[in-house]
Amino acid sequence: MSSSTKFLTLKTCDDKKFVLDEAIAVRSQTIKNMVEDDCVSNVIPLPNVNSKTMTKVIEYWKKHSEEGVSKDVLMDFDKAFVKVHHSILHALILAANFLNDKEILDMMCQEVADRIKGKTPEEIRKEFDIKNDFTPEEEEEIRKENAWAFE
Amino acid sequence: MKEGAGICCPVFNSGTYLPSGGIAGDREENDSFEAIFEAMNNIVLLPGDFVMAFLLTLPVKSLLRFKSVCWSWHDLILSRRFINIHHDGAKRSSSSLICFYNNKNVSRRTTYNSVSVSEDGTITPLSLPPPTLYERHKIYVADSCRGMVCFSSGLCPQSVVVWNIATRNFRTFHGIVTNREPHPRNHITMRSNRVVIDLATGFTFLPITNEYKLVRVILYFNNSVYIRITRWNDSMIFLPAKEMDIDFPYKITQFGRCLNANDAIHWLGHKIEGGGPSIVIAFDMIEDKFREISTPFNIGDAESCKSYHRKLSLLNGNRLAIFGSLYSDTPGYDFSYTLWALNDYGGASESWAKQYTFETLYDLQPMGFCFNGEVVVIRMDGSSVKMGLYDCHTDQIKDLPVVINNELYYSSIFDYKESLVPLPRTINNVCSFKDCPFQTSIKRSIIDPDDDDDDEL
Repeated sequence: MSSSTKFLTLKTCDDKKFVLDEAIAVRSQTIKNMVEDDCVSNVIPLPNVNSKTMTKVIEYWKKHSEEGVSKDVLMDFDKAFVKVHHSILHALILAANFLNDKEILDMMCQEVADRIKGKTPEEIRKEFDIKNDFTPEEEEEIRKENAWAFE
Repeated sequence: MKEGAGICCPVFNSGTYLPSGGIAGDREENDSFEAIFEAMNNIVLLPGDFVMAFLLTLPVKSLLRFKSVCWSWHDLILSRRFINIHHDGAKRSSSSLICFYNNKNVSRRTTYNSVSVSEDGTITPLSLPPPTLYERHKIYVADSCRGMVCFSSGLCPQSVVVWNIATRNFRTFHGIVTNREPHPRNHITMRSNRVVIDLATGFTFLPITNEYKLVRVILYFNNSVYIRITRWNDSMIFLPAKEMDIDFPYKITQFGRCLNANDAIHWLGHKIEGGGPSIVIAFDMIEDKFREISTPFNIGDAESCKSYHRKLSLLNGNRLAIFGSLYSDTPGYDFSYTLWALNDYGGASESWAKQYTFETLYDLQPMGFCFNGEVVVIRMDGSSVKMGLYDCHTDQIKDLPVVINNELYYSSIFDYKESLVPLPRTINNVCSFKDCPFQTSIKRSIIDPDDDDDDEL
C-alpha cells in the first residue's frame, strides 16, 4: 500500500458515484485487475450494479477492512448482513459476481442454500419462477428414485 | 438481472470457482455442460451461474429432491462435472469422521449404525446401511473414498459392498475366485488349497485418470498374494480388471489390522529372510505394487527400544501414523501412548515425526488420532464398551453416542464428506459361496419395509 491514500470513484448503473479508498475497493478482484493493469483513469463504471446494492457491498467492505474488529463482531455483522429481502440477496449475488468478490458471493450463496435446502420442489419452482417441464409420469419416476429424500 | 449474467460472470467463466488442481478429464464434457447452462438461462429467470453456485452448497439430500424441479436442474445435478465440483469443493468440511459400529438391540438383532463427527464436535447420524448388511456377521468397513464406504467380510473374501452413504446407493461386487469351489469344511481355504492368512480391501479414486479402483488382496500362508483390481471410470464404465499372483516375502505381525491411507493398503510386519526390523508393507493402489516403509521403531531413539504395543493408525483421517502403547513408568498413570505420523508420504524426504506422547489411567484402545490431539477411542466402561473422543491435553473423555456390544472389531473411523457419486452397474452379481454375507438372494422378509430404497440389480 502506498503511503498516501488513493481514492477511486465508482459509478453505478443509476449514475450514482461512490468515492472509496483504493485499499478497500480492491477487495473486488475486478477492480483490482483494473487498477493493476493501469486502466483506471478517473471513474470506474459498474454497469451491472445499482447504487442500493453498491451501498451494501461498500458497507461490507468497510466493516471487513476495519482494524481491531473481533471475529465475533464480524460474525454478528455477517449474520445481520445476509438477513435481507430475497430481491436484495439476488442483486448482491450478481454484484458480487460482477465485482468478483468471492467472499461475499460465497456468503450469499450459502445464505440462499440455507434458505431453500429444506424446501420442496414445488416451493422451489414458485420461489424461482421455474416452469415444471416434466410430464406427471416423468416427475413421479424421478421422485420415486429417492422417495426418502422427501420425508 | 438477466443481462447481467450474460455480460460478466468472472467467477465461473474464468474457472476460478473450481478447486485447485481442477478436474482433469472433464474437458470433453464441457460442451454438454455449457448446453445445460444455456438451457438453464433460457428456462430459468435466474442466470445459470447463480443457480450452480448455490446448488453447489446444498447437502445431497436437498439435491436429490431438487432433481425433480425441472429437466435442466435434473441434468445439472446428475452431471459428472457438477458431482465432482460438489464433492471436491472446499467449502464443506472435509474432516469429519464416520464411526461404523454394530449394536445388538433388544430383539438381539445385529444392526449397523454410523455417525459422522465433524471438526466442531457435531455428531450427525448417517443413513442406515444397505439392507444386505442386516443380521450378518463379520462385516467391517474396509475403506472409504469420495463419500462412499466399502464393506468387506472375513467370511467371504470374494465379495465387497460399496455404499454411498448420502445417496443410499450400493453395489455388490462378487466373484474374485472362480477357478474352484471353496473347500466345504474350511471356508477360508480357497484357490489351489492355499490357506488364506489375511484379507484386505482398498477403494480409491485417482483424479489424474478419473478412475475408481477396488482392490482386493488375499495373502496366503505360502508367502504369496493374489490381488484383483476392479476399475471403472467416472462415467461408470468398467475398465479392464487386473489380476496379480505374486510372491509376498513378508511376515505380517498383525492380521486383520491392515490400514488404508494415501491410496495404499498398509500392514505392519517384517521381511521373512533374516527377520529384520519392523517395517510397514504398503500396496500402492496408484502404481499397483508393493513397497516398504521403515518404522520409527528402528531409529536410535532410546524410547524406541521399549517394547511398544504397536499399531497402525491415522492422523486427521488421512495421514499414516503408528502409535505405540506401553505401561507407564510415571507413578499414578497406567498407560503411555506415543504417536508418530509419516511426513511427505512417498516423497523424497519421507520420515516419521513424533506427534505427541500422553499418559492416562484409562484403558483406551485408540482408533484414530485427529483434531489437535483428540483421539477417537474405544474404552471399557463397566460392562459396556463405549466410543469416545479423548483429549490428551486435559485427560478427559467425551463419549460419542455409540455403545458397542462386544464386537469391537467392526468399529471403524474414516474421513467422510458426502457426495452424489453414482456407482456402476455390477456385472457378476452372483456369489457361488454359500456363506457369503453379501448374497443378493437375501430374503426380503428380513429387510425393514421402510428400507425399500436400495437399488439392487
